[in-house]
Amino acid sequence: MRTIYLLFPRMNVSLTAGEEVLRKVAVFFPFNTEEKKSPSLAHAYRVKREGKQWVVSKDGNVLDRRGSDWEAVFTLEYDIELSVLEHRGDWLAVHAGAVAGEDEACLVAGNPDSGKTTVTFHLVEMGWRFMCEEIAFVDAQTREVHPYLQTLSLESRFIDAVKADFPVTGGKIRAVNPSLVRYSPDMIQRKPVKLGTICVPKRDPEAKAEVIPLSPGAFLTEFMGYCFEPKAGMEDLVDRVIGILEECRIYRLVYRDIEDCRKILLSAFSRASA
Amino acid sequence: MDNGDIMADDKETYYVQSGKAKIKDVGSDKALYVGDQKAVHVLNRSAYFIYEAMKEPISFEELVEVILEVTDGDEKAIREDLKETIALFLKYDFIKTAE
Repeated sequence: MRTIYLLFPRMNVSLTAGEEVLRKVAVFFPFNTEEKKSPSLAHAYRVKREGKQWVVSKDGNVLDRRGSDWEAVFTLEYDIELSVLEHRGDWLAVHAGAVAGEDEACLVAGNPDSGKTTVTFHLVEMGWRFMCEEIAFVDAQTREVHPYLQTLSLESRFIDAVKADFPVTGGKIRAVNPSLVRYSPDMIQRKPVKLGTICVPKRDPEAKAEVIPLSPGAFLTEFMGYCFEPKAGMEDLVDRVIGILEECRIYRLVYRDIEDCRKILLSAFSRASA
Repeated sequence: MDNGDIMADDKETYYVQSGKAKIKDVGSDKALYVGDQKAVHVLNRSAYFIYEAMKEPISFEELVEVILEVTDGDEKAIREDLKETIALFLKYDFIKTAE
């Protein structure tokens, strides 16, 4: 057993586990690991094998017992996500991926399975620096997006379909199980970046591919639905969201397939830079 | 209250802002936030015009007259739209019936 330290936005944790588990944790969190003890630790996690089970504990209490070390790491990832949300303070937490361009960030917002990860993946492959996958943190005062770095979780069949059309050159792929892979981007953004664009993907095999600009008013209630329950009250959230939306370009990206998705992204960002 | 109820007593009932909704500017649009419901609704220009007209108690027929003064729309369609708008405003607590 060995202890490592994982650094996240506004929260660091320790993890004690065997070498095989630590190797698997590195597949999920390759950007967050430190060997040196962090000065302020929010939680102490431990993954320990007991017979045929892997026991995940947090601060001395058992969280879960899983049938494999991969499953234990999934439990760990999920609980860390909850803890990061808990420690976010006054930041806005949004169901969104995020990437950084030359001088600004782009949020890829949407509900689960709306295409957030797909679009985030394509943007990284197109040269943007990776910041967040499932949850993005935005400081409404500064409009900066704060990186929450982890690897992207993608279906194996999606990666196979991508490879049929484009070479995957922007990161490394590692299989987690027969149906899931983790994609570790080569280019990441470690410092906060000011938000400039919000994309809302909509995959629809029957629709015409297009980029639809949205006004802050047209997008407000939808975007509120992508935000996590606020800590400071709902009206405060409304005010902060309005402040952010008024300063951003907002696009709904309608695409049918992988090829469409790339074309749509090129179109959206040529508009943004025009 | 459904649209039928609004139709039935539209000559007697007066509507007025409930005082529960706060107006928020969202770009060029207006949104109403209702604290009790923890909900925000963005209004189109017509809906916001009607909401503004309800600062003081106003009846359905008076609202129709006010709208006809500023639009060239078909009166029957305006009445239908107004019924729907009032029903939604009541549902969202933007307005109440006046005493």
